Amino acid sequence: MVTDLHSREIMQVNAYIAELVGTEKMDLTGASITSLLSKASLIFMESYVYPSLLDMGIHSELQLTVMTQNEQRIPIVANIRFDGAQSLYWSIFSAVERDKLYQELIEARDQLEQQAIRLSELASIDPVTSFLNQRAAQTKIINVLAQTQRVPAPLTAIMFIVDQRLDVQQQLGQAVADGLLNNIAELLRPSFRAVDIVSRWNDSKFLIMCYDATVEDTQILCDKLQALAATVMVDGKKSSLSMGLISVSVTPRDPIQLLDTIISKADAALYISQASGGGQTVVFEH
Amino acid sequence: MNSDNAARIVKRNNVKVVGDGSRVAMMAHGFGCDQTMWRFLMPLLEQEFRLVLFDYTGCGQSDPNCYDRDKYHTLHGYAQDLIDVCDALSLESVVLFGHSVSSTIGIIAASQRPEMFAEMVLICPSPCFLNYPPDYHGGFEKADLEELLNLMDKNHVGWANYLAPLVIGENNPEEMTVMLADSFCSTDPMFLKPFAKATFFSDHRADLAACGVPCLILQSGHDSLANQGIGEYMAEHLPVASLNVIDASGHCLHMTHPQQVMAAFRQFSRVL
Repeated sequence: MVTDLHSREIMQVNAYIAELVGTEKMDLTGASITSLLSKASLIFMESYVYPSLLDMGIHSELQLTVMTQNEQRIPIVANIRFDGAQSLYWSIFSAVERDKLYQELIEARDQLEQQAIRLSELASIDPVTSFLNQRAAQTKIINVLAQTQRVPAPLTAIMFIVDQRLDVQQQLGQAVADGLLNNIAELLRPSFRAVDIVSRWNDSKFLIMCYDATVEDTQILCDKLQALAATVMVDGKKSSLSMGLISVSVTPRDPIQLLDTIISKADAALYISQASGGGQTVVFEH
Repeated sequence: MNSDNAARIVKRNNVKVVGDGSRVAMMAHGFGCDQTMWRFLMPLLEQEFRLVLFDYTGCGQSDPNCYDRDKYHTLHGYAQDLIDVCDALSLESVVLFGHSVSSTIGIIAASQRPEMFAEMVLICPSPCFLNYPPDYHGGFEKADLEELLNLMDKNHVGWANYLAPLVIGENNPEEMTVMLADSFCSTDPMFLKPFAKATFFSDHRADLAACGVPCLILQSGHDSLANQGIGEYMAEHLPVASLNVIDASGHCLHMTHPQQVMAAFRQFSRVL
């Protein structure tokens, strides 16, 4: 088949192609190539194939779909050569079986991709609370610190523990302690914004990095989290959180070192909260 | 932006600067292409302009290790590339030439950083390829675009490149570098398919009103991807816009009709 690059008109066509689409040669000659191709093939041609033909002069083994007179879709493979002036020379053959094989390969690949995404999620999520694990949180926090070094924004961090967890674990076992953390995590989750990085930092501690939030904003969040945790009863008593809250000063240092400083300051604030009997938020000012 | 970050952006987006004119023109390529597609228009511009060429991350000879699946799943990620390149070179008041989807990307960038752009030349633009009857006819139904993704899969059987990162994982950048450096990234389905989704399934009609930069809309008289109604819609909804329909077929006026593109641009600039 020969088509005009500029007008998209079919200039010559052979009997094989006419038969493939269920029509006569004379009906195709002079028609637009756009009437022969499916809409998806048309987008692919216009956005990708024509530019590369103009650039390289040839395109091989293109898989496209032609529409028959009865609106049926026939997969084809085409080699197209541009003569440098205005004509495109097409060599076309039906590719029904090849299309089936490719479809099966695509489906197998999609399944593999979904599995890989699932594995990646499993590797970054704490199974008890569904918060991020330390590894995943670390990567995200470092990115936020690097971004904040470029475009300044207030940052705060909260380190907290569930005060009753250790006792529950010792007296009632790991499964009950995990159940407590899971309950509290589910209650707290709706209070976080999409930009907050919420993680189970280690076995006992949780770390939250709040982007574009002042200490005053975050203090309100801490009060809310305390109130929510208090709705969970353990052995007839309200649960409570010990919380350390710090304002993060983003200096032009290596974000990894910066993160170490954040952790030690938040830890220190948390320690003061615990030492004071728990169930309260301590703000580390400097 | 500090010099380290600027150098990182220049490398990431394979930024090239040519010509020695007094004004700056930024050339933003379309979906499935890279900066080499501007070579037909460049000779007409480089006397008058300093031309800034670049490849979006994931296209052409950009650094594939900088590709971020989350960032580039919408056109805002690509708009950030545009802004980053301008910041890296300390550019302001540039003339943006955007082909196809880069017109929309330019409009998004201009709504965030209006001072960056003096004028925008939108070549075969469409803010939305989907039909939303009765008011808007982008030209395609969702099923057409789903089929397009399937067709792209079948045409880019870069299985090894596609599967290897899944197997290798994201924490082995060196292996990725070696593998991806061997491939021509604009045909790598790992990057091309998300760009196709961001391009063809998005609806950026609402962004038009926020673009205060004067825009020249250059439409092709016979374009299967962007019908004339789309050009008229854009001219109506962009605050400052002029529509010029060139008597041509196809979606790549900058390649097939560079003289006409240039003539229309000169006329537009004179009026401004």
